[in-house]
Amino acid sequence: MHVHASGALVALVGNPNCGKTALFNLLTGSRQKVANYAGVTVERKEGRLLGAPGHRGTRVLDLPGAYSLYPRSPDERVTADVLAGRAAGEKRPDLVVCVVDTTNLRRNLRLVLAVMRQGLPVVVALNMADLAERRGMGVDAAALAQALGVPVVRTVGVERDGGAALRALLADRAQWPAPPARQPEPEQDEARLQALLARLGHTQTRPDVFTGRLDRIVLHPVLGPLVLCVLLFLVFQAVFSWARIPMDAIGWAASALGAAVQAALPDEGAWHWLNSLVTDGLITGVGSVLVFLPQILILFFFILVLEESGYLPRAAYLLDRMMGGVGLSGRSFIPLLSSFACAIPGIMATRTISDPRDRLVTMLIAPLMTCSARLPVYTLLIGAFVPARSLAGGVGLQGVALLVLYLAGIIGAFAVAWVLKQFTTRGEVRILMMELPVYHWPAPRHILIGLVQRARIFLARVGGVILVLTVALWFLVSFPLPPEGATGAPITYSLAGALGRLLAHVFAPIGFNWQISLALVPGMGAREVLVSSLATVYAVGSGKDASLALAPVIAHSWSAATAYALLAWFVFAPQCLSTLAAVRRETGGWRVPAALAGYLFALAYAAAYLTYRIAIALGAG
Amino acid sequence: MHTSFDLAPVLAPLVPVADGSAVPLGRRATLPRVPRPLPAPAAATALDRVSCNRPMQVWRVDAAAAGQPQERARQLADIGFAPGERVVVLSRTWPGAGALVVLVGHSRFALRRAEAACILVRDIA
Repeated sequence: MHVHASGALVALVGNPNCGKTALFNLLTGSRQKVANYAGVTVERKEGRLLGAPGHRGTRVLDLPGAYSLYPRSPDERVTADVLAGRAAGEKRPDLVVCVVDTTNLRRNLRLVLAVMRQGLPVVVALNMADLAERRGMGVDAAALAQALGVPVVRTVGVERDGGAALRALLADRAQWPAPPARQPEPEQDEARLQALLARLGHTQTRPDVFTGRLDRIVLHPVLGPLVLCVLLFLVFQAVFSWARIPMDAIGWAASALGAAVQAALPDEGAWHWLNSLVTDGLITGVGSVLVFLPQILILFFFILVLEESGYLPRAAYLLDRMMGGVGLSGRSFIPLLSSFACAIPGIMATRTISDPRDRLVTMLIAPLMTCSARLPVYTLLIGAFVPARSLAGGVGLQGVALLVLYLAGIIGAFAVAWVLKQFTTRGEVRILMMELPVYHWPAPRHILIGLVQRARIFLARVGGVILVLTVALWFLVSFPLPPEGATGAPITYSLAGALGRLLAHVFAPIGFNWQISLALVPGMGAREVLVSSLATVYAVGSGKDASLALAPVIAHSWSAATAYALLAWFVFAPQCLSTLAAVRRETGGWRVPAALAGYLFALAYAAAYLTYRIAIALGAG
Repeated sequence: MHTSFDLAPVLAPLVPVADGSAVPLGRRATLPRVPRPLPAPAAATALDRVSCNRPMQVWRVDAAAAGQPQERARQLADIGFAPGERVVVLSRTWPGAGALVVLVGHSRFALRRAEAACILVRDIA
């Protein structure tokens, strides 16, 4: 037995791209709750109807878009189940609003006829009515209402007051209709629709000229991919470099605040621990959560603009061949591309992939894209161990080494995707059947609502986990304190130090000494932390100059084989708890992040082992 | 480029008659019952073999003929490939392979070659 929230439940149903989400935003404002349906990775969006406040207010549920009630994907299955009242944990709606794209009347009305058979009260919302009228496809709402036998309301999703009539109807329960009369059998739907459209005089139409013209470039075999490359480069640049300024600002603010608090709080005796907890644990933790926000917001801004304008499915179509070869969907490209800057926004962006299997595979290989946090480690090791020689053609050996590392990540990712394809889609035929919606200008209001939603989700779900893990890590490296008169870095006496020495046995076969093994423990917090941890362990100080001071020290004490093995480890290893936290949020449990960490560590160990042994055999030991 | 077209005859479902041609519903009674020669071979083809920018009309959807599972026919019908609907192939990824973009009714869909092969089309009557 389920206890449901009070108040009536209105469900929004419609074809994909019928403007349902815009209408949902108009009906509920930003008072929306985003979660998952029970047992599936389908996003559930619910909101409270504006103008009907209070806990007894009417709730509006934005069901996933569906072409019919014969489900062809988990999304459509959820819609069909909720309407039939057989969805786990979901209350059956009290009223269904069928959102119809007036410019595509025939196909949208097919769904309306199917919904009318469910036995629930139905209201039809003639959405995009303004577009239809402009193209000579206007429909008389009253005539349609009479023909169908259900109320029909005209709505314009992109106008501020476009949903006023619908909202007024929904807010007044007395105006809700009764369930429609018994409908004829589905086989007669085609004939009924024909007669209906003829009666409405809906025969003369004009196709959308602007979309046709733009598509001649965008879908062109040569120009299309060119336009795509330019756009993807722009997105990558934005996420990679424009985010730098706000990220540096947040980092600076966090350390400034930390220093201020550290000076303000007393530091002797027991207070020292509290002081350290607040500055090194909490403030650093909060800072390390907030620092992701600029990249996430910039990436999602571009994704929302591309999605709302209608370009994203076209990009997926252009990339379908290439991505399909390794069992990915064309829509995987943007999440994977942004993972070159940072995997966390990339993993959050996988929500644009509707097929759950493709989504999961994309999430599993996103950490293999060489993220920007690996660069400090790569720079340190390449600078210390790869000779600064110049190859033929003015190309430096060190640059080539960096390129090799990038390629290793990409090839590894596609190889893993290909292997997963062999194991999961054997014999399964992948359908495409993807609609390319008409182009239109994205409305700033909807983009803003989308961004606020994404920021809230990140801070609430992912941020919490990152904060907890950062504090836990702080605890590991701070306790127990070094004994009186101890030489060596304090970190070597802590729990992390003990853990590191234990790990040294595990890592001995791949050439890691105990200093590296120890530094890998705080390095789990974030990849770039490895550099400062090594600096701490080797007692060369911390701060910005650590890398410069560290290079000669490790060049002297490590073998080249060890350094190359560490590089190979870093290409694959998931040295980033925040990534695992993001995957946990997207998949709703710890099973997938655990599997992700497991397979990546295994790959990293194998790669490091091979590299170490081969390097020794080649005389670099 | 067409800027307008009359939908009514296009929407009328085609009914195959005994001599192999197809006739719009409602006009069957007025045709003389004289056996006609079969239409030219180019009449009915699978959509994946149609050249770009050539308006055609859906005849029927046959998943088995293209080696696809039965549900493919229903899925294609759900997204608008009903008999009599106007279709135009707009673009292909690269010639002879991959995916194609099709204008069906008023919507554009990207289809795989295997999916498009299920849709049998003929020239507009």
